[in-house]
Amino acid sequence: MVRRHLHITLILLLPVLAIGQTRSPFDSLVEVLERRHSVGIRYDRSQTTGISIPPADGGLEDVLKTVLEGTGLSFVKDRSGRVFVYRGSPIDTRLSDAFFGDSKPDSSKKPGLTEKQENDAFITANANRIVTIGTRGGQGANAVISGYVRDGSSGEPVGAASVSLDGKTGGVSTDAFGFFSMTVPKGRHLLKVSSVGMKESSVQVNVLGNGRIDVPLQEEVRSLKAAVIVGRKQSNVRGVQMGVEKLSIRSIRQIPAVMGETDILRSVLTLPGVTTVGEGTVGYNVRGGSADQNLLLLNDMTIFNPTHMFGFFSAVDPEVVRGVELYKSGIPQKFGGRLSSIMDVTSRDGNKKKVTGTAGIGPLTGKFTVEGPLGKNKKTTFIAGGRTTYSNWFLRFLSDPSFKNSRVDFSDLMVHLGHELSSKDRLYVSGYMSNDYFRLNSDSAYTYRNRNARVKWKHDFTDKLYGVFSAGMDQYDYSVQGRNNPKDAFDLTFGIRQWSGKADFRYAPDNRHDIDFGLQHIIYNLQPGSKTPRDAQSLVTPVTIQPEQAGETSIYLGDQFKVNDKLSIQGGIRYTHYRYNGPRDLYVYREGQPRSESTVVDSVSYGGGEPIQTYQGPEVRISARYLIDGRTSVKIGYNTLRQYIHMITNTTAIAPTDIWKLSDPFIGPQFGQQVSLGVFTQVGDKGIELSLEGYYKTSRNYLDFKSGAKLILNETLERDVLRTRGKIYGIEFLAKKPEGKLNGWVSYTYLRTFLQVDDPIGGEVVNGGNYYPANFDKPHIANLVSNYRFNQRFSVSLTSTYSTGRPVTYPLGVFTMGGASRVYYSDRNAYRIPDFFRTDISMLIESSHNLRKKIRTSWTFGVYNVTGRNNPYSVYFTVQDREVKGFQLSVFASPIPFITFNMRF
Amino acid sequence: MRRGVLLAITVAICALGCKEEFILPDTQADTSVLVVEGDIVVGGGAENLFRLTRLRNLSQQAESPVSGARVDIVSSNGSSIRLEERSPGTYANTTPLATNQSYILRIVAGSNTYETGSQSPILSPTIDSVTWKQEEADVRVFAHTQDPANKTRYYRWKYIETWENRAWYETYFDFVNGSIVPRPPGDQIYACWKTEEADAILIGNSRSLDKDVISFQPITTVTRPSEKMFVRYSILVRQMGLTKEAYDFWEILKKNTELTGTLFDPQPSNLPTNIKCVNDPKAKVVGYVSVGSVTEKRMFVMHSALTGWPFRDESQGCAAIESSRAQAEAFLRNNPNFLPAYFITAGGGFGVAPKTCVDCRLAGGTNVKPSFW
Repeated sequence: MVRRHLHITLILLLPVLAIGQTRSPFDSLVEVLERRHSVGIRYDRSQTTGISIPPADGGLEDVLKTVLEGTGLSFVKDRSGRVFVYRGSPIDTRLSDAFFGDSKPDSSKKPGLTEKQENDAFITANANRIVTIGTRGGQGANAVISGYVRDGSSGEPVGAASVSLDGKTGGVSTDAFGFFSMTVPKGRHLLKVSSVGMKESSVQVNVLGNGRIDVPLQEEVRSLKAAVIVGRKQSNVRGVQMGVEKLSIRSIRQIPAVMGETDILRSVLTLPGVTTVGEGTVGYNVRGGSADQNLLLLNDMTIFNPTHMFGFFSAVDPEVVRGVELYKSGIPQKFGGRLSSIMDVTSRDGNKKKVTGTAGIGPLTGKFTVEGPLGKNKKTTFIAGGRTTYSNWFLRFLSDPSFKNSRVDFSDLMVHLGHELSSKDRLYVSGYMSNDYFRLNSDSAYTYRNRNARVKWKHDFTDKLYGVFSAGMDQYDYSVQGRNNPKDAFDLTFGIRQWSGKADFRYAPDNRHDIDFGLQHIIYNLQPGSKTPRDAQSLVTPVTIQPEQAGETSIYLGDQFKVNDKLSIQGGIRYTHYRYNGPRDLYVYREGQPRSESTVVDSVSYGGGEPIQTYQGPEVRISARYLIDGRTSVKIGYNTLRQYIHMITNTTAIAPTDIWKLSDPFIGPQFGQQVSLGVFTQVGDKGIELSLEGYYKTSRNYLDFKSGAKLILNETLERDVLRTRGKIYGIEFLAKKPEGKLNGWVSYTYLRTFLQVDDPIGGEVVNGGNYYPANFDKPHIANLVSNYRFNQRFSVSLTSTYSTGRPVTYPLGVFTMGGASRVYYSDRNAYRIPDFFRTDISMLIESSHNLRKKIRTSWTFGVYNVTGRNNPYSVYFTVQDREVKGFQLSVFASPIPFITFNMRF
Repeated sequence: MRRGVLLAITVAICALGCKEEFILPDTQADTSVLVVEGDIVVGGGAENLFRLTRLRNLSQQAESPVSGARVDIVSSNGSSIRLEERSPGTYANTTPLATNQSYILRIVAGSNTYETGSQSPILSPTIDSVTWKQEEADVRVFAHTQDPANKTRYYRWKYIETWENRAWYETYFDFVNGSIVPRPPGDQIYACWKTEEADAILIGNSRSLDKDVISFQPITTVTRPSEKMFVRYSILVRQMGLTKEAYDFWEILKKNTELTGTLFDPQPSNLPTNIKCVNDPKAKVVGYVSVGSVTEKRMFVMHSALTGWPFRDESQGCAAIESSRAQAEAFLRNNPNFLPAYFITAGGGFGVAPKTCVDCRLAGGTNVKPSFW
């Protein structure tokens, strides 16, 4: 009856809507409801314009509940029968018990409501609804409830949300799919779900048996928020893992970025223990590890070179990103393959409810994203985001011909599709590509690109067990086109491709165990380089280094075990087996002699697929957390890791021309271990978290290079490498205020990284065989990231970074040889370049949060490097007129104002 | 908006790197470090020449030669030759060394004794040819060599350029004791030969090739319109075989000097050396002494073979003053920077011109024709 009535009304109103926009569908609905139920409904038109009216049936409450679901609006009915529709948390229209001077809590009342109230006056969107889970009559006193936590407005999953029962500690948290599963006693419970940046949601459940419940969370509207009890939220104090940093896209956006480009990797650089390899680049070192010891996963796809334009920008469009997790020590057993860190970047799944998008313009790039549901039943969602630069336009304006003739182009595109095959099966497809082209002064041109694709299928076997099966391809290649001289015009190429498949399972038998296990296989395929003449005119002799291939198989098993309320242990083991395969020709060298041309005794030719060398071994991942009280915990951890792939570079930055090398009979896998200890605490009621973590790490088989090593197009790289042993120790202090008008963090890190040549047959030692500081050894690092939100539309951010200058080898003297003055250098890394200091500010102005507005815009103004300090990127020395002169290269050496414009539709 | 564009430009430049001078920290060089330059060259007609200096501070421009050192080449048959100090820090001996022995260089400087390990000579293959090619304007010179035994692989080249340099006027007169006199026939100052020894580090290798063949090894480039090719040009290329270690030394030395400071430059590397201080292992040495024979090849380029290479043209700066003999002699007495250039056949008298237009030696070089010319 109602439904028909509504439909008619809507059809009649449509033309009016189209012309004048004076009446919204919600206005019509209100009219109908007021008539039908003889009530007065008060609401703010600006909040309800955009609401579409789904088919709804039932009483007044039921209809409003259905209609308002997911809009961020709630309603309440007071004793005199008036109904208020409003934005925000449910309002209790009753007077407080204390209002009448009776401060005694009513112990007979549950925090929720009684059965009687349920039928009566106090109905709010979530908390006061009782959801029945399962069916009566199952065995046992316990049941398993599972489901998804989603963002109420976009329908996207919310990961790392904590789900607790009846306000007790020891709940579970959702995984990256927003999925949770917990074992509960049958009966009535209050299920509370919370996540950082989201409003806490409570659901009354009546658990009769095993079953499903999906919980929507609403985004927190900050300016209206009172003090939040942060203790309930997933925090550093309660989590078992240590050395894990999570950044939501929201906090990433608040960090002022160079030229206004929100940059994921740059924001990670503000975290303790993470340092940049140099100002202006996004190569990073985590806890004293080298840049190639970091694995960057974008939706499980390995991105080999996540940077654009010499490394000045990261190549992942932040608009499609949901968040970043950086594992610095407690690397879960499901990850492996790199020694220092795993950066797990996940994209959003796309809005489930409507098609939306963003577009942005900054000084260097233009970008867009589109997302939304596909098809009628909205079971498929997509998100696609891309960026491209128009920096060439600037270069043409430059008077210096070397810039005028330079070209810089880059673009990237990310596409992610999600499809709900059934209630138990979800399918995801992700694709990523990036392209870079640069040519300096019309000489050599460099191009490099990433190509990645992955298919993922998640299947829930039971409420306690699910599996994720995925397969994909990751590829990175570069080429250099040398065009200086037609006689030696060449094309130089390098490529790495890996195919990988994996199966990950997660099993939660009860609330005390969270077990995961799985299997992974990677097939590496490397084209270490080839140089070919450009055309018939060129005299270049073609060279192709033999391709390399290898397979890496890993299995893992781990459990997060809650021993009791205070003690949790996470233990895992990962076993990897690596096989270096033919076809390849290898030299045999005289035993125990430095490998060189003169010590070659034989050469062996291996056939296709023939195993040449295998390496295998276990990796251990253990961590434990002990809660001293509700606010303080102590954690310890130990882990070991193996890395079978090495980056061959002797520059400090990730250069686009760096190549990778697979472990072979001469170059063994890198092996690292780390022991760490941390104290985590919360102080005050503002949710301020303090943490102190100390660690000691060792590594083996990290490669350094002999003097004069040839890195590119070297068929016998084993003759030019030196194995090193690494020693790293550090302390990280972090004070973080995740919530509130003023939020942000301050961190300080003391970190030392030393290497020592550990190669008995290397034939060469660095600094007399003693430990020497690694290129990225920066003992003192301090970061400040702060954000102050004046109101919903206006916020200001300030970040500041200080670090000791990186080590450098200085010239100590000069001598004459070969007819010219030559420089005599100090011991490796015996000196340091000046300290690094930079402060950035930015200001975000958003248009009003008016739902009537179809397009929401925002402006970001800011200044990068406000103090204009010339932070040297590198220092180098040349001999000019028999005199040694030092030069420093600074990038972004003056205050750089920027403006970007973004819009959401 | 215009401001925005300007800003973006600044940004673009700085994104690519802003370079400025960097004040070196106050580092003090270890001035006791011995620097040895030279090779033990075997075979007849070769000269063994070593230069010994000390490392100097960055600010010091003048070299600090090591004088009074004892420098010996010790052969594996026990004999040794002493090098004599020719000028401060330069030690030489021309006694030929046999090719079938191995050699040690021993230096006693101050209280320290330095020695290289015993090395047997690398006998350099002959240079197949030295060729030139004029590309667009400039002339590039290449060396070509091969070792049929495929043993040498690493090479270093040096070269000596000689070219004929002519004065603008070919005079048959001289000005002696206030009068113009005929110049004796053997005393011409019209054609000179200028010689320049290059000390650039020229190395090459054939390690990535099947055969030990080096072709088109660039030796030097003569840029148009250099005077070197106004008449005739000659280049003597000398070749020495190296061990891989010695090759690495020169390559690192080159690389360490030629760091251009781009963002992706490698670190400076340790310079390897094969010279050790026998009595103090901590005493540092710079240098790498190779032992081997030197082969050489000479090549000539005639001006007439070149395209578009100009002749010497000093018609402007070398205009002569013509006058009677008496006037010319009076003029020359007052102007010692002039010389008689020619006799005026029609009517007598002389043309006098600045010395630099008449005497080729003033532009450098010698008026004695080299034996190979």
